[in-house]
Amino acid sequence: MNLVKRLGITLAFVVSLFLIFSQTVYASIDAGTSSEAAYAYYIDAGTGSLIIQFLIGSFVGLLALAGVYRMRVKSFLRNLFKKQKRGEEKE
Amino acid sequence: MQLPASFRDPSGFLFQQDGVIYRQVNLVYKDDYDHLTSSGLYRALVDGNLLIPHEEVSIEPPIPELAYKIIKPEPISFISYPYEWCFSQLRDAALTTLKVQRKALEFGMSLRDSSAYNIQFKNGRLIFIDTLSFGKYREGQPWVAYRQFCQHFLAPLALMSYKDIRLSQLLHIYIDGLPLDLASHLLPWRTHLKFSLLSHVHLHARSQEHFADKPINVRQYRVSRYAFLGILNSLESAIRKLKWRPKGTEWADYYQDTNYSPQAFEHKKTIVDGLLDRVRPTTVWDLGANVGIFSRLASDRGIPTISFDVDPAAVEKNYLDCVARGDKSILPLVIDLTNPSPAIGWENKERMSLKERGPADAVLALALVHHLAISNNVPLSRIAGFFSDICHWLIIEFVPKADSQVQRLLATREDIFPDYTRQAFEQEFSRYFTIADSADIRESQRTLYLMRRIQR
Repeated sequence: MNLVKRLGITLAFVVSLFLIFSQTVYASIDAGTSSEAAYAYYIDAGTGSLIIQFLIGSFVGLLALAGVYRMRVKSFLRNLFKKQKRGEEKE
Repeated sequence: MQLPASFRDPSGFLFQQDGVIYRQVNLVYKDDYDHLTSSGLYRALVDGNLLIPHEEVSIEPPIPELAYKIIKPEPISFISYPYEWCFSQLRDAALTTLKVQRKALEFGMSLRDSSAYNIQFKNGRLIFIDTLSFGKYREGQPWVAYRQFCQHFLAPLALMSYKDIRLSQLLHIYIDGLPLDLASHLLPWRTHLKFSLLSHVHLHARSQEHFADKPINVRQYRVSRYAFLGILNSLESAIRKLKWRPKGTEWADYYQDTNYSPQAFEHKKTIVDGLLDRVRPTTVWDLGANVGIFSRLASDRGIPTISFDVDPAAVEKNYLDCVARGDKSILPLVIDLTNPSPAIGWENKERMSLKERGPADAVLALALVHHLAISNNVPLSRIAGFFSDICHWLIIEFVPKADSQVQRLLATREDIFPDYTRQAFEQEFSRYFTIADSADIRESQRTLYLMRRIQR
């Protein structure tokens, strides 16, 4: 298992534990109140369900983004390495 | 007549007229309905066998002042419910719902609900039946049906997979899906270590609890399209990772529990084959079907067949075989005949009882009567009475007391069944049926009967 993967898993685990054991995350979301209807849907989406969806969405979105950047960095380094190698061969 | 299962969504409702089911589309749903058709989503879903096809018809709407259009969806021959599905059926229904949602997003729409009752089986395939579930999607909008998806699919599947397959029966009690706090309590602690279950079930339940009575402006929480797709991916991978198979067994040898010799078994098949050819029923219910060997005698003739068994493992095997073979005429379902699905929901009318969904043209009751009469103490007269309520033709096997399977049932209990005889069986069933034919099964003590219900 490479270092990046291990770091990623550890980070995910730590964030998860933080979410389970900390009420501060939810409490920080409590700011801002409104009597306005959420969305005009006929089923009750549930405030808690919408907020956890927002949190998970942000988290998996970030992970996906990190994945994209990881690939970019990887291919950048690979290209760099290849170029160097090609340069060396030419010399 | 408005159908009692269709009242929650103000966008429209189902009604029945001259035995045909129609759906009134209300004016409030006009924009969404037009978008569904004009965007190409409807065509894409129907072409992909994901949505029930319909035609627009010009009949008088039941509530004209609300009506925009009347549509006539293709009929579903037998309505089944999530609590009657085996593990893989519920899992496939979940995946179909996500597939429909992804397709909807491609066309700028999103599912407004994700109830498991929106999925039905048609010609062996899963299909979404609620044409009015689609709403226009606006960037930043969360998935309003996310809670319902977790309650109707993810939580019960996780419980079936991690705890006990029989927990699917909780869906009987909770018509809008399993409460997530309950699922979270019941799931083993190790499921906290799975990100998908930790987030979508455990943390979701905690979040629901925390925000239950807090007025919050959720509009400020935008879920970007990227995050939205991330959630759908996460849900899909969560569902795909859930697996179930009976403990310590291989599917291949799960069902060898019969006392027939190969010749007797073949003879029984030949007799049932002959009787099916003689009756040519339009529909068949195979009760106590096990893995559906005899159901296939009917379904292979193109007869729409429902294959019921009380054992979720047998139904699972049956369903997996159907999928592998591409069977179109057979639907395996989990039903406990000693306590068949009741009518549930509002006014006890939202979901039909098993009996309401009958009668079948023919019922197969093979190697079943001894289980009902001896394991469950049902008198033969009441077995005959029930069967006469659910079929016109009955192909039934009588298993006498001398049979080793009956002896096995009696081994652990006192024999309080002096009336369990072939003579009494014929006498009791003759009160409701005419015995049209009977044949002894070779190399066994069993008899097969063909009976026709006496006109009432």
